[in-house]
Order: sequence, then structure tokens, then C-alpha cells
Amino acid sequence: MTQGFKVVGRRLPLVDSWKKVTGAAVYGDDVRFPNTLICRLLRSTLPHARILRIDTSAAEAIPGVRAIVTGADASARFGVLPISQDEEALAIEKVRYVGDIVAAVAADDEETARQGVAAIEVVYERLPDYFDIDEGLDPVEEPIHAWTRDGSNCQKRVDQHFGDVDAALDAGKVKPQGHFSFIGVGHAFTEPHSVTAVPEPDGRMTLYTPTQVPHYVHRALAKVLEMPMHRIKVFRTAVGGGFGGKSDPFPHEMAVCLLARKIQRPIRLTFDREEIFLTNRGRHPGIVDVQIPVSEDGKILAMDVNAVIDGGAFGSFGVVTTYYNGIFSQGPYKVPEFRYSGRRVYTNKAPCGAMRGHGAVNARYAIESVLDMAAEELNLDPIEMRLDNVLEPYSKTTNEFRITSNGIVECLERCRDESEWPSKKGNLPFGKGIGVGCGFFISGSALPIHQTRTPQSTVHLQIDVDGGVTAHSMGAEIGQGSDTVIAIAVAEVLGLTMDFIRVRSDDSDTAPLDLGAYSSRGCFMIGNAAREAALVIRKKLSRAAERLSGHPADDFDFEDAKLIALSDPSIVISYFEALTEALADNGALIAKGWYQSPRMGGSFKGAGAGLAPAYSFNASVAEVDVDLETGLVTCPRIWLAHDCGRALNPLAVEGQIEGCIHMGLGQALMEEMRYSKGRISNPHLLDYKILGPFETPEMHVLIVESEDKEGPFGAKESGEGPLLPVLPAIGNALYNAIGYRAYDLPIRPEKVFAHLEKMRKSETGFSKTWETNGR
Amino acid sequence: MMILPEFELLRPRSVDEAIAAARGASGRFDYLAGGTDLLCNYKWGINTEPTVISLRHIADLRGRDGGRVGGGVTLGELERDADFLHDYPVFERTLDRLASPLIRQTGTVAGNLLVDTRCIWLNQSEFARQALGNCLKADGPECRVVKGSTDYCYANYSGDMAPVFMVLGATITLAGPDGQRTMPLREFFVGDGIERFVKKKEEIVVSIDIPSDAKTLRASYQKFRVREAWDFPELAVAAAARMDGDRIAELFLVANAVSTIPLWLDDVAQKHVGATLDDASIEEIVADVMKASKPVRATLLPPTYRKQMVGVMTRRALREIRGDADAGAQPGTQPGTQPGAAA
Ligand SMILES: Cc1cc2nc3c(=O)[nH]c(=O)nc-3n(C[C@H](O)[C@H](O)[C@H](O)COP(=O)(O)OP(=O)(O)OC[C@H]3O[C@@H](n4cnc5c(N)ncnc54)[C@H](O)[C@@H]3O)c2cc1C
Ligand code: SF4
Repeated sequence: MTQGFKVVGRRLPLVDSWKKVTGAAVYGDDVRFPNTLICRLLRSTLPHARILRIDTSAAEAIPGVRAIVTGADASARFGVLPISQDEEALAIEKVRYVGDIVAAVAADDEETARQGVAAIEVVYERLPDYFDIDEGLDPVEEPIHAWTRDGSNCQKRVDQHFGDVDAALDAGKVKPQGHFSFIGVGHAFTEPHSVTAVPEPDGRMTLYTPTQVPHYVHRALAKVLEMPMHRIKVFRTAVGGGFGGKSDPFPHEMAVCLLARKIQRPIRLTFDREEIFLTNRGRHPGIVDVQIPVSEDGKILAMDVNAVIDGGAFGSFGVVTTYYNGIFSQGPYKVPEFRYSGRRVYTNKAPCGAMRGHGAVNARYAIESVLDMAAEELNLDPIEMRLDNVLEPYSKTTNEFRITSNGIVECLERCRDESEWPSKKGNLPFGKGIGVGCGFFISGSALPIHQTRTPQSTVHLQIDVDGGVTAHSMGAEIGQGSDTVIAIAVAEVLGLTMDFIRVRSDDSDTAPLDLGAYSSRGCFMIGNAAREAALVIRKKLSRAAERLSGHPADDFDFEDAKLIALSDPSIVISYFEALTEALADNGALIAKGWYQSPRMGGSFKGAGAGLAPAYSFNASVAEVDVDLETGLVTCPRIWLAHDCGRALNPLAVEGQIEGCIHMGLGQALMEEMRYSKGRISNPHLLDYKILGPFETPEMHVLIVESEDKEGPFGAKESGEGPLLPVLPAIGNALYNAIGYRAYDLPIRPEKVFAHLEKMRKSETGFSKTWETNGR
Repeated sequence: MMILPEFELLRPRSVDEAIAAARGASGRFDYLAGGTDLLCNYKWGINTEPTVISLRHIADLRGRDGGRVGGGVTLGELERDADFLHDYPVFERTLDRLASPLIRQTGTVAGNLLVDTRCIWLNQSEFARQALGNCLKADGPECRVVKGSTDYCYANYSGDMAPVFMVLGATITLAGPDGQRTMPLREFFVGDGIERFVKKKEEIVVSIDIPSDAKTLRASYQKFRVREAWDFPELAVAAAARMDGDRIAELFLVANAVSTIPLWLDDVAQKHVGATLDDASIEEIVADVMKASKPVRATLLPPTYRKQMVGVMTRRALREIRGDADAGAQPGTQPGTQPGAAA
């Protein structure tokens, strides 16, 4: 293949965008089958209670109510991680949070289903409620789950120590520390969960669901329905946003299938916004303590990180999250000594899980804030100090992450230069500030959740006489563009335009295995699998060209639907000529490509967590404006440089980065899931505030390409990592603006106001008395 | 999915027909205009009624003539009404930052005046209200904001138009079974978060009339909340003044969204007539308006902070009236940060 790309690197609309912008895309709630019944769920209004009795007789007597299932209808527990199979399709013995599903009703219409739900009588015995993570570490009267050790609500403990952190703490010239607390935030995707279960005439079960993880849903369904996997089909509908909020197999997915099996009719269930908040799986609230000793010349000597996170009522991805809250602290820096202690505690609240930037976001905020404290104490420029500490390309972290390509230096330098940092830092008036943050994230988890030797991604290609290439994959297109990555990879390798490629990635009956859209794995793994498959086809077509021309097969380049001899460009075989020859006496061309991560990592306990075949790197510089009279903080402009290896489609990369900025700012400035005695008190989008158009800043997206040797055409992830530097850039800019360090997020105007009032009344008034140094 | 409860929808063609329909419903009905407030509450199952009488098809409620604005005029129509904005420029900013462009296309002036009082405990689904604990205004025995209150609801008045109409001296005209009546808007609002105003259930808001001498008032509406679009006011201040040289000849003040009704602060305003609008006298007014405002925890932001912000918004309103170019920056209003600023 020649170096110059034909498709890779062009700004292309996503291949599924036509359907989406014309309204033709079939989302969860667009699925329609004859004779469908509508499902509503009875949810617990108590945080923790034993179910003594469920009486469904009055509900069953309502005309139009067709079937009801409860915990008695399914005994198997499930969960996305094999190590925490703690979820139930419907609560079996007790309810564990307000929102836990107790019964599912299928009826002729929504209104009747609601009446059915209202008519179910449940007798509970109240149990003690646990909302607080602190009390969760000690033994309690009634642990939320029976299997937690020593009778506490602590689900997972991680303790890692590399080198001698205490010695480094002694040696540090400065050793700033911070105690940070974070409130939970949700994904706030557009499309509510909406599922349809269809009992097939031959006894199979099909579930239509907008999921990020069709394969894990498939496994969980097999377990809960006690049916072999081949008797179940999972069909991924168009997904209206996920961000990690659709990456678990869910109780409601199980419940509709149980109903469908019981009544032998299709069952549809669409959530309202409140149920999305109740189902949650958002970012864990928690506490992060960080201390970083730094030498006089600004070298990071160690990191000491401590995190306690609030898991809510179930495991979800939480064991992984517990690791991620600490182990990602290291990149993008060289950290010689490292210690991490992490705890995840069950509480009687909506379950937390994976959310964009999984596990790494809050700890990153803490680390980058403390690094800025060090820079201030040492009188160093925060960007220059960071540049002095970064990991080298093709190196290793202390916890044995294998670092490959690494564009962190370029990321920092471009942010610095494009934002005109040198002229702004230290020169902005009181109330205006500028700050920096860095980030580092996995490009796919190297270890699959289920440790099998089956490849993490497989792509099938098929070409017949029409010349179109059909790609099959179970890679979950959730708006992030994984279908487009497949199409780009195939078109690039075969020298075809994008309209030749059609991607089928929705049906578990026809698609080869893929683990789904999480851990930012799609582009790297599916992209590589697609490229491999296309190379197989390319070989077949080259051989056909050789047969037609007598010119050696390996000397053909593919471009503009032509095969052109490299050494003699006058020898040209058209794509269709080559294809016709290849099909002769053979039939449709079929090929397969797959991806599996190479072996890597250390041998200590927990060494597998956080390993990735490549890591993305990034930096952000943000400006903030503080309204000195009200304390409201806004971000007028932000720069974000992200090393995505290579931008297969810059338009898509920019979209991801802009989305990350928007989400990161939301968490920094206003998003929060409020609880009152364990009940979510703002489960709707008026009171759960995501950034509006007026709060959205001018965004300067800077793409950095470090060309990863193992990535498809050099590419790495860009869907999650760019979120990481946003929050600390804001926090550090706020400190720069008014000398207020936000130790808890979101930044609250009333707290900023209180700080400003104190300053207003102080001797120095509104003048910058901090950070006078550090430029 | 969120679905509306079942109700009978009536579509009268005239005010009289509508009133007749209301009398036929023996108190168990609601009027419907744009529905952007009422139907949200219906979807949440808050105080729903079996009969809904739509006022959308009544021509007499539409139209604007001078300072007379029909109750059925949409906020969008008013926002595009250049003559009206020329006469009463304070509405330009009020409308531009009210709810969202989409809501303004449907939401009406009367619906805005009568927008139901809001509360973090109340504006929730039935499920959430049950889980959090029902309250007095909807289906419970006791207020959640002020514990122990069994006869007074503290929900927040959250409409943006009423305070501005009030400081401009507008009157409201109601039509009911006993004919029409007109009263100053400032006398219209009374009582707790349940009672809200003097209007009888069957009465229809026909129009709002702004006296023509209001054209020479200098007015300002300053609203505070976290997001510039969608969010209801966390608090706001409306002020209008007529200046005699550098002295205040007339002053009208409303503290909004800090109580169950827009607070007409006549005593405070009268006290400062004759003062100049220099910084020192502005601060005196600021202190008095703050003192008169007693927000409770019915909204997201803490009441003490909201009270402090009442002061800031009062100061900004008075500075704007004074003619300061930069009365105080509102976030999102600095040049360059307004995507698609009002066309
Ligand atoms: C997301 C969101 C944000 C919002 N933000 C704001 C905001 O920032 N500021 C603000 O002020 N409002 C806000 N609103 C509230 C509301 O949309 C507006 O106030 C709107 O003007 C209401 O008008 P409507 O015609 O839709 O009222 P409707 O919902 O139709 O009616 C509201 C009430 O008025 C009664 N009513 C209506 N017309 C008459 C009449 N002619 N005679 C007698 N009774 C009548 C109805 O019976 C009902 O009780 C917001 C709403 C939403 C959904
Ligand atoms: S103020 Fe009290 S009574 Fe009124 S809505 Fe709120 S909780 Fe209910």
C-alpha cells in the first residue's frame, strides 16, 4: 500500500447520518410489531426493604392487563462483570434502592399498564438505609449484599504500592495535597432506554435494544432466561447516545423478555427521563485524596492516591471503576513511586457504573489540581512543569502500562501556543483566569471482561457481483462512528469510494462477535479487524489481476476502483474486471479479519486493569470569567489538543472532542444528581442541568497525530480521553482568576460568591495575591 | 414514557362559550392556552382535572393594540412585535431570556402571568413525589419546605412577565360569569402558593393594558439563574422609574421569584422617591429590597444566596435605569459568547 491515503483523513459525514438526519433511523421506540403489549414497571419507593409479599391479583383483574412478572419468575443473577453478578431481573428478596424493579406489567396500552402497576400490592419490611460511603467501610446491621466481606458494604478494595512513596514524601521539596469530593453525574443521553422483546414462533427470543454491549446483553439474557445463547437474538437498534449509560445488561431488558415468553406476544417498554436517572450507571460520586511530592526543579517524585467511591446498589462496572480511580493517575507523567488505595462501597442509591472517561475523570481533576499547587509553590509555569515530567513515547509506566505512541508534548505545546498562554498567564485581571490540565486514557481494554481466547473484534466482508462490499460486525454504532470506521478502513484498503461499503452491525445472528462500545475500544479494535479483512480481499483481487494481466499480484495499488501496477502505471485493471475474475468458479468473496490485543502488563495483583494496546494523550487550556458580583463562573473559550494517533475522519474526531468539552464543562460547572435521603430529587432535565447554548464556549479543537504503530492506519481513541483535561483546566483557571480552589464539583456560585465576599472585605480586596510567580 | 392523563378537551370559539363550558364543568376543569406549563404538570400528575377547556381558538384573546395585549398573544408574537418593543423596550430582554425560543412560540402572555407556582418537591413525577413524600400543594398533608405547615404553601412564583407589567403600571381585565372587571395587576396576586391570585376559577384573562405614560418610564428586568435558556428564574428584580433631572420622581419595584407571588414593594419604592441614583442611594434601595425578600428553599439554589442575589439584581436594575453602559455583566451576554443572538 502506498503512504498517501485516499479516504483516511478526509472529513466525512458518518455513514449512518443520512438515516438519522432524515428521521429514517429506527431507534428503540421506533420498533413496531403487530400485537405488541406495552410494559410498565413497578419500582420500589423505599431504599432498602425486604419484600414480604407481592399481591398481583387486583392488577391481573384489570381488563387489558395481560401478564405480570415478579422476582419469582427469574432466579438467576447477572451483571456486566463476571465477578459481580449481583443484579436481578426483578427484585427477589429485597429492594436495594428507590427505583429497583419489583414487577413488570404487560397490558394493551400504556395507561392500562400504569393502572396495573398501581394495583399491585407489595408488603415490605423496612431495613436500615445506607446512603453514606463512610459508614460503608465498617460492618453494618444489614449489608446491602450478603456477599460483601466482613459484614460491611464495601464491595471492592484495591491496594497497590510501587516503590517507596513514604521516602519520596520525605524527599520532596514541596508536597501539596488535596481532599476532593465529587457528586454523581449522569450521561444525559437523548434517547431513553426503549426495548422490544419478540417471542419468535420457533421458540427463540429476540430483543431489540439500543445497547452499547449487545454481546453482554446476549450472555445475561441466556443466563436469566436459562436459554442457550443460540436460541436468543439481540438486535441493536439505532442508539440515541450512550456515553456508558447503555453499556450494562439491564434488569428491564430481562423483564420484557420474561413477559414476552410468558404471554407469547411482543412487549415494548420505553422509559421516561426519570427512569433513566433511576437506572443511572453514571459517574461514581466519591472522595479522592491526592498528595504529590515534587523536587525543587519540578520533578514529580511520587503520587499517593486514595479514593473511596459510592457505587450505589449494584456492582455494574464498579470493580473496574475502583481500579481506574487510581491507576490512571500516572499517565501522562513519569511517576517513579506510586501508591493507590481504592474502595467501592454499596449504598442504597441508584447504581453507578461506567461513564465517558470511566473512573479516570475525578481522580484526574484531583491530580491536575495538586500539580498546579506544586507549580505555584515552586514558582514554576504549570505547562513547563508538566512538559518536564511527561512519559516518553514507547516507554512504560511504574505500574507497567506499555506506552506506545505519545503526542503529549505536542498537545501541551499547541495548547500553550494557540491559547497565547505566555502572554495571558499572570496578566489577566482579577476575575479572569487561565488554566491547564492534561489527560491520558486507554484505547480499548487489552484484557476482555470474559477471559477467553476469542478475538475482541471480528469483521466479515462479503462481495458479490454488484461490487458492493458488505461488512458484518457486532461493533455497536452508538453515534460515535464505529460503522464509519469500518467503512473507511475497507474503502481505503480496496481503493473504493465510501458508497461501495455497507455496514451491518445490528444483528447477533449474522454479525461476528465484538465486545461492544466501551473502554474506547471501537476504532482501534474494530478498525484493525476491518482493515485485516479488507487486506484479505485485496489479496484475492490482486491475484485475479495477476491472472488477467500476467503482472505480479503484489505489485498492484488500489485506487479509484482500479488496480494499477506500481512499477508500470500503464497496466490498469478495473475493480470490476478483477472482481469478475475473482468470482469466476468461486462465488462471492468472503473474508474475515480479527483483532486481539498482544500480551502485556505486569504480574502483580490487579496488573490487568487499565492495560491497553495504546493510550491517548491530551491537554487543555481553558479561560474562565467570574462574575464578581454573583459568583457565576463561565468559560468563554477553551483549547483542547488530543493525540488520537491519526484522525481517520477529522470531522468525527472534532465532534467527539467537542462533546467531551461540553460534558466536562457540565460536570465542572453545573451537573449533579441531587439526593434527598437516598431519593434522587432532580430526575429531570430542567433541574439536572446540562450546559445550554449560552454556556457553551468557543472551542478550539486541535488534533495531534502521533501515528500509533499498532493502531489502524495509526489511529487511537478519541471518544473519552478528551473529557479528562477539561475539568482541571477549569478548576485551575478558576484558581488563577480569583484564588479559589474548588475542592468539590460542581463549582457552586454560592461558594464562589462567599469567597469573593471574604476577599472584598479583606485588606487586599480584589487583587491577585497568589500565583504572582509562575509567570 | 410520559403520557398525559385522560381528559375531555373542549374548544370553545368565544369567551362566553368558554365561560359557559367552565360553568358546566362544576369546578373540575382547567383552561389551556399554550399548555407549556399546564401540560407539564399534567404529565406529572399534579392536580389534574377531567376537563380541559382550550382557549386557543378564541379570536378575542388575540392581538395587540397600543399598550393592550390580548391574553392569548404568544410570547413569540410579542417578541417579534417591533412597535411594542419600541414603546416598551424592557420587554426585549425579558422575552429574549424567557424559557426558550420553542416554548415562546406556544406559550402565551396570560399563561405566563398565571404560570403555576413551582417547588423542587412539587415539580416531580408521581413516583418521585411518592418516594420523596407528597406535599400540601398536590396530594399530601404537609409542606416539605417549611416543615409543619399544613395550611400555607411556599411554592415560588416563577413567571417573568408579571413583574415587568407591574412596574409599568399595567391593569388586567378578566371576564367571568358576572361580566368583566379590570384591576391593577399589582392587586391581582395574593395569597400562598396554592391560592396565588384573586381570579375566580371560571374567569378568563382577556387582556393586559399598559398605560401609555409608561412609555416614558425607564425600566429594567434583571433575572438570575444558572442557565441563560430554559431555566425559570431563581430570583429576579423588576424596576421602573421616572426621573426628574437626577432625582427619582416615581419608582416602582418588584422582587420576583422569591415568594408565592411577585412582591410589589411599594413601601420601599415610596421611601426612595426624591433620592438621586448615585451609588450610595442605590445601595440603600438594594438593602431595603433585600430585607423585603424572604426566599425559602423551594428552588435549587440556597435561600441565603438568593437573597444576596436579589441585592445584586436590584443594583443592576437601578444602574441600567441610571443609564450605565455596563450595568453588570450577565454571564453569556458578553459580546462574542451569544450563539445566534436575538435576530
Ligand atoms: C422548560 C421550561 C422553561 C420555562 N421557563 C420559563 C421562564 O424562564 N420564565 C417564565 O416565565 N416561564 C417559563 N416557563 C413556563 C411557561 O412555559 C411560560 O410561562 C408560558 O408563558 C406559559 O404560557 P402557556 O400559554 O403555555 O400557559 P398554559 O400552560 O396553557 O397555562 C398556564 C396556566 O394559565 C392558565 N391560563 C392560560 N391562559 C389563560 C387565560 N387566558 N385565562 C385564564 N387562565 C389562563 C391555565 O389554566 C394554566 O393554569 C417555562 C416552561 C418550561 C416547560
Ligand atoms: S412549598 Fe411546600 S406545599 Fe408548596 S409545593 Fe413546596 S413542599 Fe409543597
